[in-house]
This record gives sequence, C-alpha cells and structure tokens, in this order.
Amino acid sequence: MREVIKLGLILLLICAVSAVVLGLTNWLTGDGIIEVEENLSSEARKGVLKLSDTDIVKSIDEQSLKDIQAEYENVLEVYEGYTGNNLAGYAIKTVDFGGYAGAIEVITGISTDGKIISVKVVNHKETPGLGANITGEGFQSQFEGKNTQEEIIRTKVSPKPDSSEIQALGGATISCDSVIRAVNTAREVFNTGLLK
Amino acid sequence: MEFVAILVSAILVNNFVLARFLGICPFLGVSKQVETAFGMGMAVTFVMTLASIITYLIHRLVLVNLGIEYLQTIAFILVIASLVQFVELFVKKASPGLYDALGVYLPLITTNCAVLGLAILNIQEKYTLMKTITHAIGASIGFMIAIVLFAGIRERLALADVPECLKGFPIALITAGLMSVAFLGFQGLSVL
Amino acid sequence: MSLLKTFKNGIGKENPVFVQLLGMCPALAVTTTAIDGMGMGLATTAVLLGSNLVISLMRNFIPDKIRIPSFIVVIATFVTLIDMLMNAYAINLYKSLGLFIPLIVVNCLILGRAESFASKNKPFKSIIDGLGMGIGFTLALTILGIVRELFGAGSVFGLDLFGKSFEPALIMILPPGAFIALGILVALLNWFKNKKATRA
Repeated sequence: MREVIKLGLILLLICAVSAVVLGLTNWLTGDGIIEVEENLSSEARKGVLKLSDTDIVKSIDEQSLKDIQAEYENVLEVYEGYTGNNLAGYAIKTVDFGGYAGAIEVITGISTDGKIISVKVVNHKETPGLGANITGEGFQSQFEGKNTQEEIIRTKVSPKPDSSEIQALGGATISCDSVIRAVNTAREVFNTGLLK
Repeated sequence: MEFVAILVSAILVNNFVLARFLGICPFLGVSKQVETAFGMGMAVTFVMTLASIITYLIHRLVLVNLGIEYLQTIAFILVIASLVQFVELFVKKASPGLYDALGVYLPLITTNCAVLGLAILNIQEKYTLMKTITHAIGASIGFMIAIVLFAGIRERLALADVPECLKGFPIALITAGLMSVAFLGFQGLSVL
Repeated sequence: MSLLKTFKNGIGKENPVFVQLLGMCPALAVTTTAIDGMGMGLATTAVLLGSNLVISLMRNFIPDKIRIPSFIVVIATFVTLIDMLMNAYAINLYKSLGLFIPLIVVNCLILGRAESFASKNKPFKSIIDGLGMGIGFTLALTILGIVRELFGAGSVFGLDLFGKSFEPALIMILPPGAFIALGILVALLNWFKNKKATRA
C-alpha cells in the first residue's frame, strides 16, 4: 500500500511540474497567439479592400451585424475600411456550405461606389490540386471590378468582357460555385443594408 | 440525419486510416491475419468509444471551466493510457488467446494516433456528446473495415510471388495505397 | 557506442521511418509538400531533444513501475510547449500541420527512444541520440515531401520547376500517393541493401 502511495505521489509531482511549466508558457505566449490571429484576419480584410497597412478597418456595431445576420444567415463579419477619415469600402465575410468538402469562407471587399475590389478565400477543405486552386490568383482575380448590381454567374467558357460571368476552374466546378455563392451573398448584403 | 452524415463521413469519405492517416502503425502491424485484425479492431473500437466519451467530459467539465484548455494534450493522453491499461487487464482475464495473439500491440493502442486524433477532432468539430459517440463509432467501424480488408489481402499476398525488394512493408504500403484509391471514390458522397 | 556512432545511427542504420518504420502517421499525412515535411520533422526533433534530455536527467528518480506514464507526461509537456510556440511564432506552418502537432505525443519514435535509450544513458549522449534520430526523421520526411511535391504539383519547396505545360500526377499529393511513394522508397532502399549484401 505504501509503495502505491509513493508511486502515486511521484507521478503527481511530475504532473504538477509539467502543469506549472505549461501554465507559465501559456501566460507568456497567450497574448502573442491572439495577436498573431488578429493580424492575419486584419491583413486579409485590408487586402481585399486594397488598403495600406496604416489604414484602419473596424467592425460595424453589433446590432447592425445582428440585423444583417437575421436577413442573411451566412454572413459572418462586416468590417468598414477607412483611408484617413473617409469610408473606402466594406469587407464582408460570408460562408457557403456547399463546397466539395464542406464550408468555404470568403471575404469580399466592396467599394462604396458598388464595385468589388477583390475577394479572398480564407477557409476551406477542398482537394489540393483541384478545388484548392480557388485560393489562387487565377480564380480570385476574376472577381475584381465586378459590379454589385448584377448577380455573378459561372460559365465554363471564356467570360464575356465587362460581364458578371466568372470562368470556373477545370475539375473544380463545385468549389467555384460555392465561392460564387458566397460572394453573391456579400453583394446582396451591400445592396440592401449598407448603402449609407 | 446529421448523425448519418457523420457516420458515412467517418467510415467511407474520411476513412480514418486510408484518408486521414490515423492508426497506421497498428494497421500495418497487426494485419497479417484476418482473425487477429478483427480482434484488434474490436479492442480499438472499445478504447476509441470510451476514450471519446471520457475526454469529451473532461474537456467540457474540467478544462473549459478552469480555463486550462492548453493542458488538453496531456490530459487526453493520460486518460487514453489508463484506459488501455484497463482494457489490457480485461482482455487478459476474458480471452487469454486474444491477449497472446495481440501481444505487444495491445499496449501500443496508447500510441495509436487514431484514438488521440479522434478525441482532438471531436473537440475541434465542436460536437455534442451524442455526435461525439456517433463519430467514435463511425471512426472505429472505418478502422475495422480497413484493417480487416487489408488483412484479407495480405493473407493472399503471403502466398504470392513478390519480388525480393518489395517483400514485407513495401508491398503492404503499395496495397494500402491502392485501397486508398478505391476509397477516394467515396469523396463526392454527400448525405442530405 | 561512441558519440559519433550514436549520432549516425539515427540517420542511417536505424532511420526511424525507412528502417524502423516508426512515425508512419505524420510521415504519410504531412508530406504533401517538402516544406511541411521538413517543418514536421524539425518540430518532432525539438520534442525528441527535450524529452530525451529531461528523461535522461530524471532516469534515476523515476521508479520503474511508473516509468511509462512519467515518460508520457514529459513528452506531452514538450509537445504542448512546441504547439504553443508554433502557434505564436510560426503560424503558417502551424496551420498546415494542424492536428498532427499534438499527435507528436503518440509518435512511437519518441516513446521508443525514451524507453530504450534516454532512460539508460547519460544526458549528453541522450541529446546526441535524439539529434541523430530527429535528423534522420526530418531527412526521411523531407525526401518523401520532395518526391510527392515534385510529382504531384511540379514544384519543390514552393518553387515551380516545370512551368505551365506540366500535368502533375495529382494522386501523389492525395492520400494514396503517400502510401505508394513511401512503399516505393522503402523498396528502393531494400534493393540497395540486398545488392550490397550479395556483393559482400
């Protein structure tokens, strides 16, 4: 019996030391981790609005966001981007659950005069080499300059210039459709709620 | 309905062994005979399901409430190690034959990435307790199917004329690769 | 064994992946690109160094009956440390490796070295063993990553080698490719070994 207690205590001691070491590290790195995550998100939002590092993005107030989410349930975040004191545009993060392997999250940057500045796919589980190419320049750059007044549609051939058509990637139609739906949601939110 | 989706996903679409690469060591190590493979599958099923429930409860009731989620890895692996000790004692008493057949691979379930991987995935996917159990059952069935199928093929392979440099693990790995290709076919499966 | 032999042991003769066939799960899962393979190898090496050192220092203090749980606690501590540090300072690699960072704790390689080497040898020698095994592991994962990335995406460490007309064998970066690539690599090594043996 005494031996079991002794063994138990030694194990407990080792666990305690371990817990202290980890607690310390957690305390030291905790803030750094939160900062790194925030920086990544902030960079993405500034990126889609083509703002510089010194410009500011901030979220719209909670009530407005809740109102928007009541209408459009796939909206995750809405941020306003400012150059100096002027509102430059909105970074709207939406999700679509119809990707090939699950949900796809997209941030769409829309300027105050109703043009899509650019889009960025930020979260997905699509197949590498096929659906995963939606994060590439070739696909995402097609959205730039599109008008928010017209619905964006997917075509399999070369899109007509100045139209709202996006060419799907070969072998990744489902992934592309999902991204297009997410961007269209952002577009609709801009059209109804935010035109200040 | 979501439960069916979780089951189908864990067994076929994201098979734990052939798609997620969890549980490779026992998959390659205990698959030389169908009977042993089946026994291993049962033991892993038991451990995986129980471990999922216990780790889920510990996460919810202890780690989150005390704000010490970073101790997750340590807590989970200790739970799994204790559970495997318990299963070992149980199998030794209940079925000495199986105990001998599994040999060193029984305590090795502790280091089976499938068990810890499952526990962590349950938390990551933010499953409820019921979904966690469903996921655990699905994952174990998937593991069992993979390991038993593999054992069946390897029994045949042992009698075939394999080139010298491919004998043993290389041909086993390539066989697993071909099985993985077959399971890739389930990729587009969606349960509405 | 001399220190140099201990070191070289882990890289060649008892290479964790190609010879001992340990650490298969991460070897297959994160080698879709060379940089991920190398990153995982380095993270595992860090844990291995830490755990070998601490376990060797404590080898006379830990009672034999609870050595396995004690080893596990030490290893899990280092894994959690590396996890937190990577989350804070190497976020991109952290996201690529995902689930497999905490899974380093069940890499049979680390527990194996603790059991068979660190608990029976002096600290400095244990560090050398950890270094050798870790580098051997990293080498194996990097080679596997290079092969898969080259054939599956036409690039190495992110650098495109073949240009746009190259149609990669996509299967190499999908799950089956991992099994097949490793199987062929081990077969090649066996072939060389047999050739050396028949010549001798």
